[in-house]
Amino acid sequence: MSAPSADNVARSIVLHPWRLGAALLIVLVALVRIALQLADVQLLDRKGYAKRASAEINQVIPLTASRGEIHDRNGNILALDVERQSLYVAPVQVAPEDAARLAVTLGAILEMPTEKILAKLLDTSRAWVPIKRWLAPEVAEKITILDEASLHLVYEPHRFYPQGQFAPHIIGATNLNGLGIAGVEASFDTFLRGTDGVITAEVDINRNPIWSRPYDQKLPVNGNELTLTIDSYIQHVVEAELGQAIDQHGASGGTAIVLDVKTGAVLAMASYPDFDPNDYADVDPSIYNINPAVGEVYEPGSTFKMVTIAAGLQAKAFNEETQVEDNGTIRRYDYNLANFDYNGHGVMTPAGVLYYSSNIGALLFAEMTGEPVFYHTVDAFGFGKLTGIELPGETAGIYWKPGSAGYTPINLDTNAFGQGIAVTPLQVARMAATIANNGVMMRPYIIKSRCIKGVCVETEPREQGRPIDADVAYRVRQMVMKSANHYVNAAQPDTNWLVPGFQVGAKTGTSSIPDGNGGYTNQTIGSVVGMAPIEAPRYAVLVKIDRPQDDIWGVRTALPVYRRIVSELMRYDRIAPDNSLVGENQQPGVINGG
Amino acid sequence: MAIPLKQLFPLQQARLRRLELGRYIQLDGGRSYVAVALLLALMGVALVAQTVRVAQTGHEIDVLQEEQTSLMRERKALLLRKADAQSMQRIEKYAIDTGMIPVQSVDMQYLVLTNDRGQLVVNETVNP
Repeated sequence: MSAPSADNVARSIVLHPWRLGAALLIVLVALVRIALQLADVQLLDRKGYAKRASAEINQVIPLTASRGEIHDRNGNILALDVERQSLYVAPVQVAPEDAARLAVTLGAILEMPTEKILAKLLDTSRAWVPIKRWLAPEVAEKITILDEASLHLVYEPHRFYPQGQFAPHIIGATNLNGLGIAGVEASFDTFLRGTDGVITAEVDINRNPIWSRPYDQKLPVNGNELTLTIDSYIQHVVEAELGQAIDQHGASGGTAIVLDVKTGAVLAMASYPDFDPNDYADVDPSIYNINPAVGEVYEPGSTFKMVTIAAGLQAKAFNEETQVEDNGTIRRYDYNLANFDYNGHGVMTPAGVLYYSSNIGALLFAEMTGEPVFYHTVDAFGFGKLTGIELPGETAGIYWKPGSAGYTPINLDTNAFGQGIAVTPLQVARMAATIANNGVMMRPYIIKSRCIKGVCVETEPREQGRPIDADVAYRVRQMVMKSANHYVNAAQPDTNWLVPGFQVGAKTGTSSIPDGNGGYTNQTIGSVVGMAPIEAPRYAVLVKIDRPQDDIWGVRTALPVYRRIVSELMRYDRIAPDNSLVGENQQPGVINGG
Repeated sequence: MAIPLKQLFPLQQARLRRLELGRYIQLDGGRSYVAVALLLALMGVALVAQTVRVAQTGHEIDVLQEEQTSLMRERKALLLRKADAQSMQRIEKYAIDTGMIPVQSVDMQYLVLTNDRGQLVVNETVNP
């Protein structure tokens, strides 16, 4: 081992001051840089960094509010939110060699095309791909048993309509985002929807909050509840009878309404074609977008003669004994106007107009009444105006008033027997209910009560006017009762009763469908409207059959439905039949055939 | 040359110093540092205890929330069963499946009853 040389000793010992100075300077610069960075982080951009840190640590987890339930008047559930599991896949977790096998398995369980599932399994461009939402519990159970790590079942709220295809035009439906798109689901969307909540917290890999500290939480506020005026039993009867008639006559559609005449509450409202709110997307949007009972108009035809007679009696333009002569045809303003069969019925009273459904008689009595009074009564009955029912898409209907651009003098004559005027089925049903309720017109309503956090507010029935006096209403009721019985008697005297055991009023109508060019198509609408029982009316009923293929007359298409509905209403309401109101071959409450 | 005896017995000296307890307690300015250190330690312990407590409570809340969610789902499932049982179509199908037949009006009797003087009076009947 050699001794260190003198040079080496000198180099190891000598430390020049500039080196120390340089080292100190470097350290100083580094310290200054750190100080500046510290100042930047802690002082100058403190909020920005805090925000970025918070965003990385704290995640926002939405808490979906549950949509409020919808019930019928007896508390039966018509719509509610349920949590159903949805199936998602994390494609990066799918082994490519297993994808085909998994797709085939899932295809069999989910009843979906294998190719479609395989494409989702292999879609690695996305971290999380939905395969099918809202699985039935038994299907979700099968997926769970597969025990595939790449498949994830997540609970999601789902609007469910447990009664299926029941009162869909009233209840409506919600879309995939939970927004109401039809029926009361749409008109009360905000009320039913509630307010979503949110959790802001540090989360684990499964997005569960980590309880390192109390986290910010805004709880969801669940939606409010609605109770409808609908009676499920009556609705079921109406839907069954209407559906059967539409099938029988090959009709394109139809509507039936039952109103409580004292309050205006809608007890049943059915229209065809209809849909299942759980699968509304399977049908054409025009079916669920419009409720025909309030959103479609038609010419009421002869059912409107009740208004014509009521208007004249109210104004004392004529009385029950006044007579006019019906020769079957009449010429007015260069037009020939006629009865439906072109036959005349001779001299007749107002009751005869309803009994024979005479167009000429109605025309002559309307002329006796005069334009101002006639249209005042039409207006007072609420035609041409919204009824105010809580359903979306209601239309007001159209008729030309004297002095308006579209009005010509012949309008009075044609309007007298229900032509040249467009009304909704609900307006006609309300007209019958008004006559049944001694001339007091009640607003039709569908919401029985609104409940907010368990506190329910009942809808108060609201009077909308008194277009006719009680005695006029009574006399018109007597007339339509006679006309009702006329329908089930081949010849006078009318010994049979429309609904054996009960006094029932009814007026049929058969109206042509306008072609949009001022003329009419060869398609018709058969309808009937009335009330029961006549002495103390409880129900107003309307039945309308659109475009029947085998028979154009309302008396043969809509009337049988009306009779069966009224008979069932009487039995359901435990109204005892009167044995004196039964024909020779009739039995109380029994409707034989049509 | 004098020999400093003091350096010859360091152990003895140390023992003597240990006997002076005041030296251990008398930390002068150092006491403040110790106090601060103790305080910080206590705060740390308190923080850990609080975090543990929060985590424990949070866990309990999670368990309860899961239980609540489970109960809510069970409630919804029961509501669904109830709604299904209330379905008119289902009731009608059940009636048909069990061999029931629609009641005919002619099979019905209507009794109009009054309770005057506590008696039930048949006012009207409709017999087949």
